[in-house]
Order: sequence, then structure tokens, then C-alpha cells
Amino acid sequence: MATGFDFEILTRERSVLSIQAEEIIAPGVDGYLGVLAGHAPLVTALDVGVLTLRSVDGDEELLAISGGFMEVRPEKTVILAETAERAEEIDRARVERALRRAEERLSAEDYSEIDSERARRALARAFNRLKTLGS
Amino acid sequence: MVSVRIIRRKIRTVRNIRQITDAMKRVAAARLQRAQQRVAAGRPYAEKLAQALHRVGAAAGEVDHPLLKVREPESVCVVVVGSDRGLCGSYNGNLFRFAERFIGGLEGDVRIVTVNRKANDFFLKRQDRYNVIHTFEGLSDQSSAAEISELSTFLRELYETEEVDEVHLCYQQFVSAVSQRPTAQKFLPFAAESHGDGDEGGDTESEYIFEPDPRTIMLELIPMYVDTEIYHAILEAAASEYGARMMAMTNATQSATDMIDDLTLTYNKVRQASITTELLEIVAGAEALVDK
Repeated sequence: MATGFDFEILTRERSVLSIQAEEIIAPGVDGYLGVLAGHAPLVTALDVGVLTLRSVDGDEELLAISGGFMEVRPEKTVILAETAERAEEIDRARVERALRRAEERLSAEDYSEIDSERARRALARAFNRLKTLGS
Repeated sequence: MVSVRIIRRKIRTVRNIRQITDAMKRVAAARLQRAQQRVAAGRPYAEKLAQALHRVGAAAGEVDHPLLKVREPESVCVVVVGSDRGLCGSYNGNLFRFAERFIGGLEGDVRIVTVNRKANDFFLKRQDRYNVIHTFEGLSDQSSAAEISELSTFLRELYETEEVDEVHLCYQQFVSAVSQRPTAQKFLPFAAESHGDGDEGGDTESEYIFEPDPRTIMLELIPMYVDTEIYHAILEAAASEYGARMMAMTNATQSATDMIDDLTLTYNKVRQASITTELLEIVAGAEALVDK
């Protein structure tokens, strides 16, 4: 069995997941980065993206993350995410609705700068969730 | 004297009311428990965030963030968090009295943001005195973090655009299931040094790799922290509301029981009296016959 490390994802509402991980690949703001056991202490901000997680048992899982940050410490790695959803928690129909809504908003012309920025972000989140679902 | 029938009807009414208040008490108790669980579920996040803020803050040194900027309070925003429903005793009344006093003590141009229906009603009815700039509804422990972040985003934008120079939050602090305390808390400008304690110590900050640099991370962390604090205030207000409602409904149930006891006593007395009168009448009638 490979050596693992304690890994936990927390959101404001709950602890999403807490396991012994072998490897995680997280969406850092400067690109995806992988963490293995014994990684140097690190703090990084996270972007909207897919988190890949391999547990010591060899199970692989994808999670949709939107923003937050990750702290790697010798004893434990923690992600504090704005939102984090496991693939099975994502409601495909809802995501597709959000996607359409965001696209409509972006194509409308009378939108202010802030609103279109917001719509762009919503679009990114929706895409990310779909990617986590594997489509 | 009141008739037996009317008293009996009254007893039945009060008994029905007691059933309702008792049910409401149970519902409030169950909700309170769930709200407390949610507060507990969010605690690890808040603690980690506070630690991280402290650690990153130490590495970043002085940072310049719009939410940290202290300005002369020319215009102040007060957020009042009430409840959406009534029947929770003096929960809203106490809070609004407290809020009015608090607002009265503020200097500068005060703008009000109200959260939940009771607060909206109260302050909108007094618009001659209060400048209500925005209202929110339906924010409780049932709301998702995303819904609550609409409020915090609104407040942060208000502050960042220098529309207001301070943001205070008025809500019922949860002391215990049976007691709440109205409080006013200053949320913005954000005072980083008063937060972010509870570092476990041991490792020095210089060992950390920061990506990107600590300053940039700090700029991300500050709004996250403010959002978390507002999220917790809303949860706490909801827990307080359930506590207040539970108390109010316990009292109501108790009064109903007392009233039923009183009414039953009167009912028995009246019934006894009417029997006695009837008996007297019969006896008197019989004696009248005997005399003849």
C-alpha cells in the first residue's frame, strides 16, 4: 500500500470529505498542482476547477471546486472551498439550467460590466460541474 | 351566572390552542437542535480559516485591501436581522428596541439594511425616520451558504464602493436555548488583528511556500472570512429565534394548562350550583305539596 496523508475538504456548511489520500490534484490559481505525502508546507489559492483525488485504497474520485484555498501541512492537508461537490451530489439538470441562464445573460447586450462578469463566473462554475460529471 | 355549556365550549377551545402551541414548541425544539448542528458543522471551517488568516497574515505583513481601509464614518450601514415568522415572544421586539437605541447613538448618515420580514416591516413602516436601502428575506439556518453570501456580497460591495464607511450587524446572539442577547457587531472595516488567533504554533511561517504570494492569498482570505462571519451571524440569529419561539410556546402551553384548570374549576362550581338549585326547587316543590 502506498503511503498516504490525511486530507480533508471543508466548506462553510460542512465537512465534505475526510480521507487518507495518496495523491490529490488541485486547481490552483496558477494551474493545477499535485500533492503527495511529504509535500513541503504550502498555502495556495484555488480557482474554479476539478479536484482529482486518489485514496490509499486506489479509488479515484472527482470533485467540483469553486474557489477557496488549500493548506498543505506535514500532518494534514486541508482545502477550504467556497463550494465543493462530489460527482454524485451534482444535479445535472440544474447545472444545465444554470449553464443556459448564464449563456443567455452573456448574449444579452444591455448587461452591465458587473453582471456579465457574474454571468461569466457562473458559466465557468457550470462548465466545471459538467466536467466533473465527465461529459 | 355563565352557563355550563359556554364554559365547556371555552375549555374545548383552550385545549385546542394548547395542542397547537405544544406542537409549535416541539417543532421549534427540533429546529433549534438542527440549527445548532449546522453551527457545529461549520465550526471546523471557521477555525481553519482563522488559523490560516493568522499564518498568512504574518507572512504577508501589511496588506492593502479595500475591506481593511478605515474611513471617517460619514455614512454608516446597520444591518438588522429579524425573523420571518412571528410567535417567538419578544425576539423581534427586543431586537428592534435595541437596534433603535443603537442607531440613535450613531453619528453620521445611517442607512439600514433589513433582513427577514419582521425587520423589513418594522423599518419600512418607519421610513420617515430610517433610510432603508435594501431588504432581504428568507435568510435562516435553512438557507444555503450561497444564499447567505448574497447578503455578504452586497455588504462588501457597499463598503468597497465607499457607499458606506462602516457596517454593523444587529442580531440576537445565541446565549443558550432559553436566552438571547441583542448585539451590535462591527463587521467592516475588517480588523484583521482582532481575528485569526488560535494558531497551533510550532511551525514558523517562513517554512511555507505561498502560491501565489502571501499578499494575493491574503486578499482572497479576507472576503472569505467576512462572508463566514456573516454566515455564522445568520445561523446564530436563526438558532436564537428557535430558542425564543420554544420559550414563548412553552409559556403559552403552560398558560393554556392553567386556564383549563381554572375553567374546569368554574365549570364544576357552576354545575354544582345548578344541581343544588334544581334540588332546592324540587324539594321546595315537594314540601309545598306536603303542606297542603
